[in-house]
Amino acid sequence: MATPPRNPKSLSHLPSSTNTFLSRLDMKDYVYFSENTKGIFGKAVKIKVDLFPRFAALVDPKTHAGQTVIRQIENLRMLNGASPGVHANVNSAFRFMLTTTNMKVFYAVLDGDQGRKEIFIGDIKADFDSSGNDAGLYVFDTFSNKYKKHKQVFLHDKTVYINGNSGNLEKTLEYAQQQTETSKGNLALFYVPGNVVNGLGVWGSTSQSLSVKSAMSLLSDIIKFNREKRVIWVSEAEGADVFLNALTDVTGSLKGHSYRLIDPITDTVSLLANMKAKEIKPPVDEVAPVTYTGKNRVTNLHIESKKQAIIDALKMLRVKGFADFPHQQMVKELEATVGNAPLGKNKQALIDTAALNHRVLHPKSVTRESNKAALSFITALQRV
Amino acid sequence: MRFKYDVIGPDFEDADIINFDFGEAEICLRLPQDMDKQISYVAAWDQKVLPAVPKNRWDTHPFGFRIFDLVRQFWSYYDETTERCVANESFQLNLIELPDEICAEVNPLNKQEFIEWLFKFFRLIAVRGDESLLGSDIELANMKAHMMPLSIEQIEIHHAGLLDWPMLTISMPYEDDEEANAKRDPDYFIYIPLTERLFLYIDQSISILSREGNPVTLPKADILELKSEILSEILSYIKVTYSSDVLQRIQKANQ
Repeated sequence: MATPPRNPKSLSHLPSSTNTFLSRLDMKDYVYFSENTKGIFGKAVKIKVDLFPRFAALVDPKTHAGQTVIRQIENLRMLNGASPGVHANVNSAFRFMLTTTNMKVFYAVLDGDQGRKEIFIGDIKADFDSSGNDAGLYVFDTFSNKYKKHKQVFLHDKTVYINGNSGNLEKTLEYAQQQTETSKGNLALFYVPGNVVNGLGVWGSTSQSLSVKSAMSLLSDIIKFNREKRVIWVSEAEGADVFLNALTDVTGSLKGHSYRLIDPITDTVSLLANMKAKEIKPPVDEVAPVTYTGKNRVTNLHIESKKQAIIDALKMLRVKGFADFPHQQMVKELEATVGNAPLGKNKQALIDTAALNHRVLHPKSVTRESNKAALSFITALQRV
Repeated sequence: MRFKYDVIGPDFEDADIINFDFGEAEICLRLPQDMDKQISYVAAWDQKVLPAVPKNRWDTHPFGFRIFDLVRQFWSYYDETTERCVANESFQLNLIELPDEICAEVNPLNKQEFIEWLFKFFRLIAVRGDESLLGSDIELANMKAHMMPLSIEQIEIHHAGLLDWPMLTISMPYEDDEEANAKRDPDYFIYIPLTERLFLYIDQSISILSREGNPVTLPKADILELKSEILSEILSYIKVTYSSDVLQRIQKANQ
């Protein structure tokens, strides 16, 4: 159903725009993608080690969807520029983009270290689905029994749910109702579609697209419009990042507003500090204003390197009397896993592998061979 | 099932079978499951006694009838070649219980009365219940904005044996966004009579997915055709069974 874009984005993040080979220095950033892509059948497929955390967040090898993506990338060893899902860069030979179920894979076909053509994956970008609905505030209309998009509306005593990556509008509305246990009449949704999630900093985007800026601006305006009201903001996953960005554009107090965070994927410590500065507090009857359920794989990976800072911030909520027993239990569970950092450990193992594979050998006449028995990207992923 | 344009959907023959018992009528339908994430709601099978205490899963409509959630289910359609999701189905089944005042106005088992009442109901939705606006330009403009049928003759019908299932279109307009409004396709509200007091309605919408730099290139007519084929398949797996008493009353009401 889809056709390739006429002018795919530049693949300039790959090591060279004109050369057909990588320097040895560049090559040490790459490892074999999987055990099946070491060049025994078809072209070898290699991937930049730095992409490991983002790839791990996007691909769960234990799921059907994750296995589908892995298979699609492994198949690059056999594909050419005309294969389904492959888009050639019209401005640069040897450079391509593969669209998979939830990400774009940018790669180049270059001379490998054995003189044979190899695939070098230099970047990946999140590419979540976007249904026909735009970002914005959706409020239940009792006459039609449907949700209607509003630019500005009073939200007094309403719960506003801000979603992360969760699919189309209708599915998100149902999910919001389940997560907040709120009747439709008291619930509003600030809908964050897939194209906005794709452009968030938490997914590695370095510049905000127009759709992301527009979504942030809409939410900021809604918050300002309801400054004097009592609104409960429930942000989940990437929705917390949207909320943080929108709040930074709001000055002054938001006393009377309250919050709840579920598996936030953002700089949670900054968000808590920002809300504290604006006098946004947890609801008085809330037992766990910040909830890490352990069920969101992306959140679990995202917090790995910042866990101690998050724990310290959560402990402060308890000290201030904003959290009850379930909150303490959750903090204890998080503390028990502070030293457990599978993402960081496996990324380091891949860095070590790449360095060993491409070490400079003496004398120069010795032919270098890639170590095909070395740890692959997917093997490391399966350990996370 | 396989559709045009290499779109494949769930196999309804393998889908879960769901029943609801309303006393004098039962419904049986098949519900495919979402491959990605299981977000669904299915009410209890026994609906003979409806709850009296307000809960999250039922509301009273401003016009006085009660609406109960029975099913919320979502599933996807995929491009066979790339395995990318191309469309999402949102399927909602609700039960409506009429109060005595409305029962005096309409008998859902009478085909003509029911469709006339539904049309008036939609006209009232368009004017947010203000009967003084019926017949005005405001009503007409709002009905067009909501993509509602503008006459009884424009209402599509699904012929389901003894009784018809009227299929009324609706789409909530965007404020001050002509471009977004022009892109909309309407959702369907499909009404299924059960008894003189009860009827079901399905809120069905299919969203065709798009991605930045990778737009769906199907013309609008083809998208509508694809949506229509998907809807036909869903409805073909819904069966309503009436008690012998209700069957007699249906015949009598439509003589």
